Amino acid sequence: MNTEIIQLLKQGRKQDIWKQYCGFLDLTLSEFMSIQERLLLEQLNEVGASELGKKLMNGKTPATLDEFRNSVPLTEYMDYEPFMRDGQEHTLPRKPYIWAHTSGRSGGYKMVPYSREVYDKAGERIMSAFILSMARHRGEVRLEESDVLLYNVPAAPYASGVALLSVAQRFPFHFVPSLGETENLSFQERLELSFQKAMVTGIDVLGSITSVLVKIGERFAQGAGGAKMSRYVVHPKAMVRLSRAYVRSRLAGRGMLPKDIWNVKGITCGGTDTSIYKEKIAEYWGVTPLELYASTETGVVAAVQAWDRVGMYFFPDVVFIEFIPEKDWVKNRQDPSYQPRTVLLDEVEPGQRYELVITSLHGGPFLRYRMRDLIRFVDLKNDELGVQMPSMVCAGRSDGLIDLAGFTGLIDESMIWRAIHDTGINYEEWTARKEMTSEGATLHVYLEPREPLKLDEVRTKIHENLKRDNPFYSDLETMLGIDPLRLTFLHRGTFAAFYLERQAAGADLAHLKPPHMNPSDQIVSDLKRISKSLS
Amino acid sequence: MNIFFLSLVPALALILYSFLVLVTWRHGLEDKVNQRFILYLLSMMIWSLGALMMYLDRSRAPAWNRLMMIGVVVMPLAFYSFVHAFRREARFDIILKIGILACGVFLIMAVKGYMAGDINITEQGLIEFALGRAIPYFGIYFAFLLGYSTLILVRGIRETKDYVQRNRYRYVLTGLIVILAGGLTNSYGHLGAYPLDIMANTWNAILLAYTIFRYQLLDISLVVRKGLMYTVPTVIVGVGYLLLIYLTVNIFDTVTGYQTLLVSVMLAVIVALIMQPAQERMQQWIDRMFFREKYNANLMLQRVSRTAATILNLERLTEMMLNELASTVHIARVALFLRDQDSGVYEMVAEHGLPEHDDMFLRPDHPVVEHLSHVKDVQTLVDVELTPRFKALWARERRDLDTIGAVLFVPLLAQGELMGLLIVGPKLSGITYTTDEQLMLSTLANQTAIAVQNAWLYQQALEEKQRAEIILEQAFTGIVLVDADLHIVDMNLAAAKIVGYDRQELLGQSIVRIFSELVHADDSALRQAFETGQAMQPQEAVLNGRKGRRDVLLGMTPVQDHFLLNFMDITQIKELARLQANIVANVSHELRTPLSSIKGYADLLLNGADRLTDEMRQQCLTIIDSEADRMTRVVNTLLDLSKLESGRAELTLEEIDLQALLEEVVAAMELQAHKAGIRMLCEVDPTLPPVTANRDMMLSILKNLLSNAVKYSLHGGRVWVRIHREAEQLLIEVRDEGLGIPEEDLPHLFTKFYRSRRAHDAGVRGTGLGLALVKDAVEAHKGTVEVQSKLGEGTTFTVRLPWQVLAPQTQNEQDQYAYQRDV
Repeated sequence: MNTEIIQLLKQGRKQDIWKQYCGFLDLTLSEFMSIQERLLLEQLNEVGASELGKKLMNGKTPATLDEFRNSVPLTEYMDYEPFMRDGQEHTLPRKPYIWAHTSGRSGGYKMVPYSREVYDKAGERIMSAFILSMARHRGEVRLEESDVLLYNVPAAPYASGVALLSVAQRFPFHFVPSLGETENLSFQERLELSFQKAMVTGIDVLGSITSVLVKIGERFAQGAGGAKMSRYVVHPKAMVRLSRAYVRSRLAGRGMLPKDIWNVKGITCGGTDTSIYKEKIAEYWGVTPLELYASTETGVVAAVQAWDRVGMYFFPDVVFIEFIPEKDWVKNRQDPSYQPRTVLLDEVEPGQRYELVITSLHGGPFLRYRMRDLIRFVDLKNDELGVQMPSMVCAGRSDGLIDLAGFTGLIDESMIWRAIHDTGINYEEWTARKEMTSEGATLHVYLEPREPLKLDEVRTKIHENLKRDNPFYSDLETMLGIDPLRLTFLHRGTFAAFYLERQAAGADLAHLKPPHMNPSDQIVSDLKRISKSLS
Repeated sequence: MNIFFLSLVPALALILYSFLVLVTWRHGLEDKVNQRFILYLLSMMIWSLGALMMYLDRSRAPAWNRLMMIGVVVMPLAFYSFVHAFRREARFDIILKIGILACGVFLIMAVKGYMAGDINITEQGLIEFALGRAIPYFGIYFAFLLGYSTLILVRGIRETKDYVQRNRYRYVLTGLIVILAGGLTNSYGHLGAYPLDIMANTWNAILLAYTIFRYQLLDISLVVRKGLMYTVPTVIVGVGYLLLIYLTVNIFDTVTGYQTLLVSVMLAVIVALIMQPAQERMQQWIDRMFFREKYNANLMLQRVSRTAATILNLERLTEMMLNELASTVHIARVALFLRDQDSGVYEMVAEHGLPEHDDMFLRPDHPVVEHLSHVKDVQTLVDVELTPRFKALWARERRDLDTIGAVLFVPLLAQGELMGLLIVGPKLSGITYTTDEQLMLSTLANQTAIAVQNAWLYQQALEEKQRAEIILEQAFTGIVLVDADLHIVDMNLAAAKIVGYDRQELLGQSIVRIFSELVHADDSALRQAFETGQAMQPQEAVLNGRKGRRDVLLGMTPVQDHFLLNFMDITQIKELARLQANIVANVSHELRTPLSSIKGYADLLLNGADRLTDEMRQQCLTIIDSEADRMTRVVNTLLDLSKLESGRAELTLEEIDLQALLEEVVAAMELQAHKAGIRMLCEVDPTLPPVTANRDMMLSILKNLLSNAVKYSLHGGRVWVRIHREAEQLLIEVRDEGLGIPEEDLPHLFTKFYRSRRAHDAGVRGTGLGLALVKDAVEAHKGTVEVQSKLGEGTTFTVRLPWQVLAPQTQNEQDQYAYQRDV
């Protein structure tokens, strides 16, 4: 029933496009909550009638929000596994329109059914993200028909690919590469092909993995050049583009950067590293990326930044959201039998970390499902932007935390990443974990620098940055005189070799790189072995 | 023509364009459409400036003409690029690129003077010019770009389904036609001498500005058509007026000078008076002939408005409204939802053209309901679904809207409150709803809202009236409404019952008939209340009922021009009060007399025992004992009565020989009768078998009746007692030749503690409980007791007991009887 965006665009009704796709930012918190509650009630009726719902809710469908929060237990994927199989579709609240699966980053693959409405919402929300990524102020819609959308996110049946299919049905983007064209290519090949094609087509909107943009930008900055020679590069348009880029870079008195070649209107990225690299991406690509929070279980995008590119705001109609306060998930971590309490968006406190709990809407399957993703609320509202809802940033995974000592507080991925990044060193990759030594618990960071560096100097800088961001970590030294940080430099090329080794072993995309937090003994051992062999 | 006036045209154009540039600038240049529009405006500014300067600086007309030609060259390209952006055509456009190239070439030619030959502005301001060598090529460029722009706009009109957008294209297209028409005037030598092309461009700019800055537009075709059509009656009126003046002036040649003016004014007034109605009729006729839809819609609104006011049945009203709507606007599907007063849910009360569907309703938190409550205006589906709140729509609700094919949402507002909504589906023709139609729907909805509210209020009033009537009718107090003349207007059932007349008998009658004394008495509170129009607090009064006077508690309240009399029948209460007073008096007396005796003899025994003989002491004690027995009897009688009345008495049945029972009673009474010289004559049917009854009660019946007969008989009189069976009844008759009982006392004889004044005056002692006891005992055996009396001749009491009750029974039957009695 949705009004077609292309019609609105053709009619010049950009304000209406903004209203439809980004109007959620105009909601008051109470309006947001009432939309959430209304859709939850619809969902509960539907889930309550399904076999899955009956099992999870013990055959009793809550009639109110309070009853729902009091009576339905928190769930995990294993609660759904028996229902997420072929032939079990009749047990779900709504017939799946399409199945998506996760990257497997948090363990095994998870199959997630999308109803038609969830599928449509996925496309709608990606469109919201694209429009916001191009906006420089409230109400600005820079979307044009046949805008070139370059993407380098996993294709369907990964959720990102499914969402792009939905986007394609919604708006006539010029997809680069075209959807379906690259199904048989590896990620690397697809990446190369897309940027080669973009030499001809240009790029208006970029949907990307953050690290890819950083890597490409760095390659340009280091003078390693852009695309390889191909038929696309010798295309007249590409040559004009390159010539123009050359002139631009000369005028600026520096090497050629992606922003000289492409006039990108908007970039969307997801992941903890987006906020860390956003300045770099802006420097390389000329546009500050718009960070979004997405996952397969939430029906792709669940929250997105506004035009100021600071905190992310939740969409009211994607999933019903609850938050487990830090105190509760810590308690639950120590005692798994403890049922953590949750708070709603109108009950959160700024500066606090929470674990996200979602309930699917529009016939999705999840009920009070623990996402294991940690978020931190930045502010309860932003008067400058005129947004009356709390904004948040990603803080990592609740299962990717490092607990050094009882009172140090949990160190998350973003803290370590920020601490390394703020040293200003040029590095390739890192991984960190807690290790027990004769001196007690230590935080061991394995870092691959790109240039010769003094280990002690870097270690001290990281240590100081960690102290700055984590007062509990700081207390460890001031109160106990303990400096828990250990740093090991890995030889140049270690992570790349690890990647190739894994690729050769047939690992999938999600398991090619070592995790940033808590890598297994095997991974650490492999990294050390490769580093040693390279030295 | 004066050169000054001709120069005003480009001057006006220049001012207008400058103004539009400023407005567009302020509107923002971020949008491509605005950017290109401003480019077009700038080209027109140059065009107008060049033209203006040609008039103002005629000596250098060729130079200014070149400047003007720069504007003329840029204009088609700027206009094309504007239309291109306006239509949001694909980004890559080869025509635009070629156009830019061609424009560059023609600009050079214009500067070099290849576009226009010699040019001269005459004293009269006419332009004499020769076409340059490049003009034929420029003509192709000009015609192609503007022609292609036309094509894009026509395509836009055909493709778009949105009414507003189509109108915008129409405006732009109309403007383009105006430009082309203006441009064509240059091809005709004599017309080219006037700045008609610039006038046309000015008009086009105004149209475009209106199109861009105004979002909602009038239907331009309707405006044009209507404008042209309405000109006809105006012209007819004008021509008629001129003709009249012409005839008047020519027929009456004497009319000259100021008289002509006077005659003209007079004629104008006459024409206006005569022709105005004619013109209105002609316009109505034009509406009917050429604007049929609108005409029909107006008629429909009038019909609905007329009919709605007379229909108070909701179902009929909504059905009529939807049928009218569907047949006039040719709507495929439409549904009307009205709010339920209690739950707040909007329920579908009428529909037209809907396929088979489940019950439809909209919750109070339905996004459409909330949105309409907020905006209070007709909303298109697009308007509604663009709101963030619409995202809370449920799948079922979405299906319902799809079933109706919702296109428009029309609120039904009454006093600013959303009392319902009309969900309008597509038209049968598939064409979108025009602004006029939306306005008509809104008007209809408002009319319906008022009619529905009236129906609701009527329904509510009806229910309230029914409730009030029930309350009035069921009240036990009498309520009478009288008018200012004190005539009875209305009264409730209780009032009629208290008064004892039929309601119809009293309606229209004066209140005096009921409250004559109160109304007539000078010091009566009721009279004063009627006179002063002030309320009268309830107070005791007497009314004249059909069956005599009744004691009432009467209050009065003035109600507008009427008086409301409210009265309660307290006759029985007063009687009870009187009886209570009697009870106290009688019981006190009955107890005090023996008590005094007891007290006296007891004192004697205590204080003068030594002076009394044994015999005297014995006598004292006998009297004390006897008086104590008397008191006990009185108390027992009271208790028996109380038990019987409360239903607590145990009715133990036993076989009784009535002959023996009577003999026992007569023996007890013998001494008393003997003292009074009264002879008791008893007759019991010897064939009468023993009866089954409560012995104590039967004893009480005989004892009390016989005792009364003896007490109230005159010295030497006789008392008859006869017990026999008559048909299915046992009759006990007790007759005396005593004082007799006054007629007015007869109804009260069996009332507790009632004692007739005559008995009292005769000094006959009694508690007033005997006959009450008899009555209760008789009724306990399902019998009756009656009395016949004549003053001075005597009295007969007849007790009738059903034989069926008294006949010998089995134990089971006895139990059953006892059970039924309890029940």
